[in-house]
Amino acid sequence: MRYKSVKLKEGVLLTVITDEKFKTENMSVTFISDKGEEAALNSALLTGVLSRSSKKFPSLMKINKALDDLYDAQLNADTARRGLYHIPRFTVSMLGNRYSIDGTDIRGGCLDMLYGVITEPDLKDGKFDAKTLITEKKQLVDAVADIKNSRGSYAVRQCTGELMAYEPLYSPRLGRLTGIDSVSAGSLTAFYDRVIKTSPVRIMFVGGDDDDRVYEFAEKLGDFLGDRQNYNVEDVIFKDAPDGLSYKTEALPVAQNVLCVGCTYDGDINDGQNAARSLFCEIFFQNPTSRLFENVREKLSLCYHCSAVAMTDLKKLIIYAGIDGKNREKAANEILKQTELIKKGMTEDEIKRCRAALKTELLAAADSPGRTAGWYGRQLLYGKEPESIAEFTKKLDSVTADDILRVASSVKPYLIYELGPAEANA
Amino acid sequence: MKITERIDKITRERYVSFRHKSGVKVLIAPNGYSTACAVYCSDYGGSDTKFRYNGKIYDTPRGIAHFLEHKLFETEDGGDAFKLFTDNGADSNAFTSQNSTAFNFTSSTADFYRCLEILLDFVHHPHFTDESVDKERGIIAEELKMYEDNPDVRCYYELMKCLYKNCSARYDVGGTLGSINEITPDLLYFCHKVFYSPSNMSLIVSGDIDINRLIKIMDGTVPDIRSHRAETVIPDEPEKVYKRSSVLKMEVSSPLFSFGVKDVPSPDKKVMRRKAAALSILLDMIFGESSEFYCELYEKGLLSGDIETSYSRGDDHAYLSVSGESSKPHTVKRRIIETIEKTIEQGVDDAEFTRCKKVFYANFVYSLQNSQSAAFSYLTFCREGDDMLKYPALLSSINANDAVSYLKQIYNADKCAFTVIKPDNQGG
Repeated sequence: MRYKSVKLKEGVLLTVITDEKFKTENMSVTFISDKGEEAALNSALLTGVLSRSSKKFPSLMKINKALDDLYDAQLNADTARRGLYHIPRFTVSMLGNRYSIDGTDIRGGCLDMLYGVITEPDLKDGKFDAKTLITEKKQLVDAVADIKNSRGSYAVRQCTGELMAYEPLYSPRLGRLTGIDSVSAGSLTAFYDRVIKTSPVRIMFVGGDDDDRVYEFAEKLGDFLGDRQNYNVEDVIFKDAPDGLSYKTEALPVAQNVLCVGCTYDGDINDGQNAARSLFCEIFFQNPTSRLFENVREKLSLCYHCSAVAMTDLKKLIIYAGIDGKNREKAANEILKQTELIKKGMTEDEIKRCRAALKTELLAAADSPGRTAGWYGRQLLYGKEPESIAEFTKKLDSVTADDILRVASSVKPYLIYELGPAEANA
Repeated sequence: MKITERIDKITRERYVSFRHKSGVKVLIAPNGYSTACAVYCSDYGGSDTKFRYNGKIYDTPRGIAHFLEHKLFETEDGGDAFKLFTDNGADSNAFTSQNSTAFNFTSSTADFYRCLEILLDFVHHPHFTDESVDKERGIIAEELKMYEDNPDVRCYYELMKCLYKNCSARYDVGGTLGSINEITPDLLYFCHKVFYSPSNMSLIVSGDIDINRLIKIMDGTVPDIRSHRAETVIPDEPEKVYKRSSVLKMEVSSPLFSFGVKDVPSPDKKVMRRKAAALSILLDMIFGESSEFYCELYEKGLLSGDIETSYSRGDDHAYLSVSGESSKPHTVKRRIIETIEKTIEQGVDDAEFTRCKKVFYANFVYSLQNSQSAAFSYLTFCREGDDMLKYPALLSSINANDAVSYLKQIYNADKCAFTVIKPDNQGG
């Protein structure tokens, strides 16, 4: 795997990663927007509106047909949240040109489309089309409402909201939609101008090989964007848990309750403890021999899944399990017991087993252009000198039980959130 | 042992295949990646509850194939195969479909051989006790309840219950909270004996591994059992749909819908593969995200998010479906019917059809982009004795007229069903 990094302009960075084993490739352009609800909402709407049309492809149908012609290339325009920052990103994923059977220049066509979508929006009188905005507002409202259809994800989102309630600048990915009515074609266009002119940009290509088209695309985009002040994403500051446990329930008529245990979780990407944290996650919840899986599911048969989401950017960890309402106390007690037990130590066998599992997972990530892009992309957002997957894998060997215990010691449960039928929550 | 090698000139993909002396079908596809994935699959799934074996008919509880999938991970010494895999750095999993049960692991190429031994060993050496079966019941009950809360899964099974009166496709692969209570260790042992004989199994590997070493491991771990092949008793199924429509209330944000047209499957799997490819391309063309149908309804706010189209088939069923989310599902249904009827009457543009074929060729290449998805793609073809590397050629041989003829052949108002999952406003 080869890695190249070029500063195109102040605040505009290009990273190129190539490996001939990749059969597919992707180019992404990521903007670090602002913190808070306004940025969340506008980023979500902006990516929706921009990916609907461009000057060259002035309708959704024209864009989608062109993507089909480029061998089902995928244009993904979405927004992420990291810490309190909202991050609009545009990615085109495509087959390597060697798979083109009719001479279509897949890479050239895809890069051209991506450039057009970002830099040449289909404006009417200098603004986004009002009708398009109305459609995208409805799509966004539906997308946020749909999160509820996936009970586990919804419960984790709600629990995260509760844990972050103290932070006025926290807003979930896609936002809370409270100010959606006040977003107009004019205000969204102004937001676009601000992002294009001021947000730091990370451009990344991952594919089988690089050629002039990759660099020409990046340079042209860099020239369009120009210099801007660079800044990086930052995590929230660690906040200690209040004493004791608090409880929160939400009524929803479901067959299976979702129990979440919200905890503190310390550490950041630059603290040199990433390998220890990865091993902690593996041992505690991430694989089928983990403490939570082994005890809550296998030994006590309380659930089908019991896992967790570790969010270093928010300094929170949320354990979740789908349970029968009548088992809530038993399940919560076992989860709390396991969060204490993990702080008391782990066997060498556990560490060895989880280290081996993690290494395979990393090998699989290095086989995938999408996962490779994710690996580097996250580090670049933090302005970190990227560590390769291979370098990180080596670091796992030097992690000790004490390192893992230090990570475990920051996990302190303080909120139990349960989603379930009203009567069960009574 | 006759070893066949196949190479595709365009994609440069290749594989070797053979039947191991035990009877297991084997396919190995080198992939150039650092990981290797093995999938070991029995032709035994959720549909195979009633079967003829040694001249006798057996009727077993629904969900038993899925229960067996869960329980096989317990090893003969009462240990756990998950743990053995993790000890060797492998990520393992399993799933049960209507017609098959597959166990898989992904590991580094170096750890592959030890993991393969684990895989073949635990699948062929079951260990069930009353206590462990009872314990698993609780876990599976929670799995079933999890799916019960999933609106997409509910919408899918509602459509199946409308399309089919008797066919097993209408039943959840995992069974019901009632049927899993009837499962005992003896029943599990019996079904294992019937359906996990080597001649009923396929082993697919995507990875750069040594074929001779693999054969040696198989020689030492796969039992040499020649048993009678069980024959699934397929219930009679009328050609018409069982019910034309159904509405289910659930805690959803906006209505979900699924429109289906019932087809009669042909026993010739190659005919079905061609038909499935042709209809899938056509459905994508007329309802997919580049279609007039989708773009117009999306822009009018009548469709939210993506639309799913497919022509699905199993041994005893086949149907086409169009599913999505809409605040006005019945308006969308009317538009679906109009679009199908217009397509049958006027045909479709050849150039547009060719564009859509590119999408399916691309999906074929995308399926090879990591060792696990490559192994599962090869499995689908291998189980049917088909050659996956001929798929691009199959796609290029299909034209728009073929596809429209298939649609004309299966479309009939008596064969259509429509399901809606409506928001239950009382909840929350």
